Amino acid sequence: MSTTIIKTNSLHKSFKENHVLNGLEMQIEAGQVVGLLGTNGSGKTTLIKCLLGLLKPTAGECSVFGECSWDLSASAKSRLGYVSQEFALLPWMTVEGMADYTGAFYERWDYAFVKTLIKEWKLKATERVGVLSVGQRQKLAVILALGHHPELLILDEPVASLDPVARRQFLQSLIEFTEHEENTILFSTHITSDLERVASHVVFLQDGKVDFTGELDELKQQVKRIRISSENNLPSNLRVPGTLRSEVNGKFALLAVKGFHNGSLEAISEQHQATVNVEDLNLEEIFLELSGVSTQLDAEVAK
Amino acid sequence: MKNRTWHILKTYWKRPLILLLLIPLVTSFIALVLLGEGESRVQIAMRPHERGRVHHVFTELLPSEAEKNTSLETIPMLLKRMSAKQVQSLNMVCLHVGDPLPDLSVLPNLQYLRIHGFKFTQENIDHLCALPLLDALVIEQWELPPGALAQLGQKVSELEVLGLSLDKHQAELSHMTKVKLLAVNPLNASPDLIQHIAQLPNIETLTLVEPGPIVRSKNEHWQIIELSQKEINTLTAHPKLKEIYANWSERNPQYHLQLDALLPLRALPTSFSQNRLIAINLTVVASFVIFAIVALQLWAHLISPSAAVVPNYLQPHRNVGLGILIVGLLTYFLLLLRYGFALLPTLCIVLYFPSVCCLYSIALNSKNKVFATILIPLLFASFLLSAMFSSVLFELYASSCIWFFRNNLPVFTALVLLIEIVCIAGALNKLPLVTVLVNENSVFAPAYSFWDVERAQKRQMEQAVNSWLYRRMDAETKTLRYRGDSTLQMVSLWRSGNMFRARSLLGFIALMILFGLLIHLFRVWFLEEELFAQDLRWMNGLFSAPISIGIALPALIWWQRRNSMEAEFMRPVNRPNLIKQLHLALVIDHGIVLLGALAISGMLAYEGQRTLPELLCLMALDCVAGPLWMVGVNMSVFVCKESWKAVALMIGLYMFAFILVMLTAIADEELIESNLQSLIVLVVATVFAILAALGLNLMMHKAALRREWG
Repeated sequence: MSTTIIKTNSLHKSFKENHVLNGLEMQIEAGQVVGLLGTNGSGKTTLIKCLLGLLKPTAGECSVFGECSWDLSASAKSRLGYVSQEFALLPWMTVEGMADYTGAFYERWDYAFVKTLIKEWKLKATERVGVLSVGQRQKLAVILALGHHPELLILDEPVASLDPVARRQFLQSLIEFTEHEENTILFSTHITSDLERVASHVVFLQDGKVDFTGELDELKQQVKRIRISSENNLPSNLRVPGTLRSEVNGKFALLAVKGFHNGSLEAISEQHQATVNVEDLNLEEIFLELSGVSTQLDAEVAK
Repeated sequence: MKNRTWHILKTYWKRPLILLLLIPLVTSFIALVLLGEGESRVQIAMRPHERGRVHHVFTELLPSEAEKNTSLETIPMLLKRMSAKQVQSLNMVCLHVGDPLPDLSVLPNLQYLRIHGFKFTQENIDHLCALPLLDALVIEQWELPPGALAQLGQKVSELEVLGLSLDKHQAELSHMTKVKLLAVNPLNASPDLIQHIAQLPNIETLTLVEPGPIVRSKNEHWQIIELSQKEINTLTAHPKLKEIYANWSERNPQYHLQLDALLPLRALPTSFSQNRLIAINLTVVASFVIFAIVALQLWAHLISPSAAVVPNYLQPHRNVGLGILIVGLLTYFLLLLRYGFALLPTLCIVLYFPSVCCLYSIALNSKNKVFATILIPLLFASFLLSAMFSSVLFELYASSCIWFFRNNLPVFTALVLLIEIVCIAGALNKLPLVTVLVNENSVFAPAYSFWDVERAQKRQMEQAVNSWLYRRMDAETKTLRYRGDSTLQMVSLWRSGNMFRARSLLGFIALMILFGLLIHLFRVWFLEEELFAQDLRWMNGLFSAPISIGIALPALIWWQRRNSMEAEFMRPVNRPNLIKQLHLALVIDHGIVLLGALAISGMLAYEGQRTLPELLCLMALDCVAGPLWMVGVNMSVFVCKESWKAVALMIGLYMFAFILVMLTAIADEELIESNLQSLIVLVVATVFAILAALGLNLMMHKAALRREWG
């Protein structure tokens, strides 16, 4: 039986008049690697901060390890690892000093593991944190979040400043992190290829609400692109249930559909005497379709 | 162009921090306009110096008097309390007419003696002259035996005769060979008094004591003394005379004289307007604020990427900054001129803090280590100089200060002015370079730019990484290990994440004390003052330095860490414990304040002018209520997310405390008549202050618990 690690219930968060989260419902089980997707301003960081108790929800509830996020106990926090978007560290400390300093807060800190990661990720132990480049500092922030082998790792855009090699190393460490232990990861990112590589589940946020939550494969199964070609002109209002975007050009049409099933295809094929091809989408394309960005881009091109 | 200037100006009032800085600026402006000369004056005339604590003793008490006034003490009672050798200064009062002068030979270390109400005999004079160490004498007698003045004048170097008519003793004056400081009340002397005094062979300082209003009204014909050219010549020709203190003021003057006629003698007033000192302090604060506003804004503009890419970007910003600086400083310059200071010294005062800040900026960023090292003591000296304008310390340096205010030290004034102008011009000229250097290199002052928050401060650390301080702190982090649930260990752990440690300021304070001692040694050496058992008010000034550090520095220490606190909030500590540990860490950071407060309490006890309950109350205020209030105020940094809100809260809370203290002091001064009532007010105020400080801490703690760290 799976254990619920993160749960939100009708979560609202507003900053004055700006309603960022609007009744968000989400549940993450142990062992899941969840990618948090959404456009800028969709509420990803606010959600993460509410989950960690860094922000107080305006209404609703959120819990981590079954504890109210706002009042997380020390033991709950000791099972948590977090890398913030800003990954602000103490600039005067050396890399090694920063690791020792962070480790002193934890009862179970794996000094050898941290040392190995520092070496593998090519950080100089004696160098000041303030002297490190942005990418190097981000690496260190990730290492420090892993040092106590947390059961839940929350990362807010952890790879934004990393080069491809470091990103690959980071993803590898995430895979190892979940392979060896029954650990859970929630991470937000805009680099969907990385997410595709490691995530088992996806949560898609739009306007402060969950637009989709489920397994990555399920999402890929649900969102498809349908290419239709007919001998006659197709109606400009051609739609199937769950159409996200429709582009009709004479005898040709292109539909992006969520909640795809074969039954609707057969109906189109018969009704319009058309050939219908179904195409799989990669996560980035799904992201664009779900967020409506593709529609906007099309509209701009049409102008 | 106009449009551009207008846009630059608009950026000034769009910043909350600058709007906050306008509050003290406007307040000081209004205060300077409304203040005026006022009645309150600081007495600065040189009188015989007291050595250590002055013990007040009376002649024999009647049994009924002893019962009613338990605080009245006789010499035998005093000697029961303390060793005779400890008594260095004594105020001896004759309680009943005809009481004989007690035997003072039992006090072998007596150096300062004030005698009041006795009828002296030749035997008494011989007795006083036989006291081995007696060197300062204040006599409030109307009569002395013939030859007594000459005899005393060969015994002591500091002599004050207040009630005595000197007419009868004119011939004796020239025999007072040892007297260096003479204070007399001219109301009892003939107009040619000055001529006679000028015959004292070793006199260096003459004080013509200003009579009180009652004495003045009874002796109206003596109010104005004309000094003839002959008398002036006699005075100025005296080889050793340096200073004459008298009521030279234009209002209700005692002497009609162009003071410059006495040059090179220093003709100094007996008192100085307290409001003029306040005006100087207000101007210094205002000039600092104006400079801070301009510097902050210029800095923000010049370190922005636009400064590097937009053509002709720097010039208009610098011009606007310079314009604001000039207009602001000129306004305060004109306001200060109203208080009767000479033109150039006023300019020196107005430019004082801006130039110190420039000097600091130059020293901080100088690549020439020798230059930077030389500038550091100069900076310390500058800060010590600012303490001189407090009413307590001013008395110690009044002579030189007033001489400076009157522009009678033109070379010194010109030199100071030149240094100030060079510093400001140099800093303004190099401002773009300085801001870039600060932005890139300084580990103490991260960029203020609001356009460039994300910019990496990579080079910030590069110059500082090899300093001994960093190496020491590295060693500390290597020994850090998990210590379980011990609150104190956790507090220590949190604090070890701070780059700035309160204890590293001990070195700064040690330097302050070193400079204070150097100044004191200078006074001992050149002014021939005592090394110990002296007026120790200057030490109060020194020890108040750690207290002033505590006003904002601990908060600044944690403010520096605000960016990393979001991630650090996720350390395995629950919210209540986290706030408790941070609160305690802040308390420990204020330890340096406690050091200063304890030292000042020690000084208060040493002065011995207060009763035990008074002393205990003052110590409680000084060592408990004050530091606790500071901790409570500085908790703002854990309560408020935005810096400007924290600063506003801190200013508001300090203003609130200041107003309460002032109201209590005014109520005590105006409404309270007896000592007992005054003591009750003090006790109540102390208890209230401690409770208020505790309450503030509690409130801030609760508010910090509600803070969102993300």
